[in-house]
Amino acid sequence: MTSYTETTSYNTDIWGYWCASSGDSCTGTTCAMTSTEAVWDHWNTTGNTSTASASTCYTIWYEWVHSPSMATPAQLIQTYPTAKEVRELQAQRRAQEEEARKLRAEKKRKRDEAESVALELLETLIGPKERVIYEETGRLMVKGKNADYIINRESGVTRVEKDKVVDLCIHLKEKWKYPNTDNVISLALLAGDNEDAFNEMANEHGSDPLPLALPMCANGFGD
Amino acid sequence: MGEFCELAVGGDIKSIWDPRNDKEVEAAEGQFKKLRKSGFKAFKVRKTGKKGKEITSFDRNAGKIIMVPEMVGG
Repeated sequence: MTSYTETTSYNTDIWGYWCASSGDSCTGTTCAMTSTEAVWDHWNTTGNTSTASASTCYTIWYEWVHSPSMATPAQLIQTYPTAKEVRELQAQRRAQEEEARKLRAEKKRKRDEAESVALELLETLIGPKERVIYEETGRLMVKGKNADYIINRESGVTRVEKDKVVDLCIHLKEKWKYPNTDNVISLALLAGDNEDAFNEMANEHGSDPLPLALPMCANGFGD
Repeated sequence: MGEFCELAVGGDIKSIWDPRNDKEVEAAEGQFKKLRKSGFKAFKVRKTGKKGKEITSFDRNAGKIIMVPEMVGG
């Protein structure tokens, strides 16, 4: 019989102690076990008396304890950042957020600047008084031969017919790249010059009866 | 003087040409053709900006030309 103590530093020894204590006998790599302590052995085999290869038991035990997929408490502790690391990570995150805020602000500044340039161009087409109305309402009226067109700064066009209004969708192919007012100018130029081409290109998205009053719009385009 | 307005990301890009100066006309016409080739439409408007009319070839005597990027139905 091989004797083991609990103070051993080897897992294989602990296993051996568990299996071989209290009347079990081990010879070489084979343990004969009859006691109720042979839990592991009973789990893997049947009967009160069984023989287990120590090398097999060792392998199972070893894998159980040392499986790479299982982290030991010591390893788990190592994965938690220290207080210093937490402070550094928080500072890093704050710096990234500040950088993102600056980028957004810069993007908005450039977009506002581009919109101002577009408004200047629109003013050459409709005059300063109508520009003011456009800036307030975000709408520009273009008079056509068959219908009138309300071009909205934010999105969409309303075709005003004799008895109904039709929602149209037409815009610059890469609208998001350009100032909104440049989109309005482009649509106004096409609608004012070639109504048929404009309607052919636009997609209709429903209609409503003509309202009693149309919304306020800037005028003067194409006069 | 003719004025060329190309609608661009940062607002329109302006350039001018003197219709009596062949080199300037040539440069403006080159830009006109290049933009037309990439899908832009050209609208000739009066110097005051009124009465837009689409043109398909460069007009050295146009008061002002606005070049508009490609449009699509949505």
